[in-house]
Amino acid sequence: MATVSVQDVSCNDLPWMVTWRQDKCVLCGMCAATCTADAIHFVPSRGGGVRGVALRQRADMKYVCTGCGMCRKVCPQDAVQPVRNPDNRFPLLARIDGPLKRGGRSNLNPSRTLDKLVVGRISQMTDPALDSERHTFDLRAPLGRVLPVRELPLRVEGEKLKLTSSTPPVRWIYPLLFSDMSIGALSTRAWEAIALACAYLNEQCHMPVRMCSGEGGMPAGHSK
Amino acid sequence: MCRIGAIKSLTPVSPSRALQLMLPQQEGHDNSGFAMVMQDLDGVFAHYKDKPLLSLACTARGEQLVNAYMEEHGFVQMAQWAPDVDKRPDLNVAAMPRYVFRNYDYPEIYRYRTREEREDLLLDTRLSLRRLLTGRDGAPDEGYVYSFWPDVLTLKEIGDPADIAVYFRLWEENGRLVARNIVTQCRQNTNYAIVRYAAHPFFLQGYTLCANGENTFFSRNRDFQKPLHRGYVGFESDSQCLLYTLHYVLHELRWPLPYYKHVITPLPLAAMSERQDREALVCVRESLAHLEINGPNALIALLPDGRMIACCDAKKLRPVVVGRDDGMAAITSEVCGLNAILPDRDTGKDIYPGGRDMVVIDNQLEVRQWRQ
Repeated sequence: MATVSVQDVSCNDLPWMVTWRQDKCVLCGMCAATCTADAIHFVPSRGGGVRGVALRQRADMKYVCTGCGMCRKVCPQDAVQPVRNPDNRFPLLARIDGPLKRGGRSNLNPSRTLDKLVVGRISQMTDPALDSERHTFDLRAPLGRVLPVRELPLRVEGEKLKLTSSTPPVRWIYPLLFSDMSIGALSTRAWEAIALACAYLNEQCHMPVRMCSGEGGMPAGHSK
Repeated sequence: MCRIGAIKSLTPVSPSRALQLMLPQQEGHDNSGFAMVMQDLDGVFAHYKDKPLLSLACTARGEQLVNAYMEEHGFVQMAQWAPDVDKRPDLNVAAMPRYVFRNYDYPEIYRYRTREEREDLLLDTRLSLRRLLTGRDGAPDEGYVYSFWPDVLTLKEIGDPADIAVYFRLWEENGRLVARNIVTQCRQNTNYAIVRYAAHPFFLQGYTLCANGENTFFSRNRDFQKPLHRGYVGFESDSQCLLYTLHYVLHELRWPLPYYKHVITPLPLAAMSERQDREALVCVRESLAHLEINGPNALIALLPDGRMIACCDAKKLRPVVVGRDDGMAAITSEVCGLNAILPDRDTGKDIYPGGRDMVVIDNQLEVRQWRQ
């Protein structure tokens, strides 16, 4: 069985559906020959149809039944007619740019353009192309009381600036960012995991990472 | 993308030299514009070096507005160079109707004022003129005021640089419009509409700067700079932030020149931690973090005392080269430009500054290279 995708077109998506009465049909073939949009054709049908043959509407945006009714006009038995389909998704599917991709969770819409992009190196994304192996990026941010520049205790000595007194302590840290979701919305398990990771990075890897506990503070039992 | 250049000469040179420097550099500009700032003038302005010179491109009504304003505020007109333009029909120039290059004398009440007060007056006058020439919708309908400063002349125009030179008769070296320092730029088309105020070089209270590249920290720089000083206006080009930072560090904070480089391209924290002056460098970086630039850049700047500097961004992604012979030094984007105006120089002494270098040329044409 071929893979089926949510965005595949089926007859139920089209504005008109062709209904075929197999008890009345005598397989004259006039309807398929006359169809102005070439939307219906006879196909072999195992276990159904009339003597192994069934009338099938094409599930294809190029051959869309327009409801003209010629099939009904030429059918000697009134066995076929187009019926309006109130559940059609034609406006979504017939767009010039292709079917409308639904947003939301990726299980509903597996193939989005951004998913198809493959970025092998950062130099592919930056303009001009930068090579991360040659060009380093300083990701740290200052945490502390940074003085406005006019308040810095600096004195000019020749070609140099000299600090004449102490300044408030400022630490440069890797800010730990957890997407842009409220950290308070995490489960306790996720919270624990981040706290463990933060401790590991500080103590084992000696990276000055800080974690924001978010609104609500740490869950009870964590400050042991 | 554009091509930048600067000439510093012991004897005054004509703008045609600047054009000869820029025109060969066709890898990097598409002949859509030309702009220059001349400092340390000679020729028709030789006798008025201490009187502010207004550089203006405007409509007839714009000129009327400016005349009325200047008279009302007590400025006395002393000399004027009205370029006798060559209005040939086949020139590719988007010229304004009037060009005004006029020396004024200060108002009488400023006779005994300090230098700082005069500098403030000149800046405020230029900003007022700029507002005067701007329509209600923000578009500079009646003209563009580029500079109002002693011994500085600015010419910016849209069109083919060679045709601009024909239009203003810059090829005719008659000695009337000459200077010892010329900073210039030729434009490469960008995604944005052409705005004359967006043309490099930019000028503010004696500081001139042009850059080639993109400042991708533009919004950050702009939002920090806007409240710092009333002169930090416009922001039509992301490279104006580089000029404003230069003005802030050297003119407002009065820090030594090397700290401009420390502010725009701070050393990585790891490199800073090994230096003796790390405490000061870290404080500078923390307090002026928003003036850091990002993105490929090469810049040339001219200071009020006549020194010319060249430096790049930390990752060194735009070309710039410095060369000199006995009477002239030049900085430019492509070496073919240097070959055009300094063909007999010792090319072995050319300097290609790296990501952490700043090259300074002083008034005796001594070239110093400083590493951050």
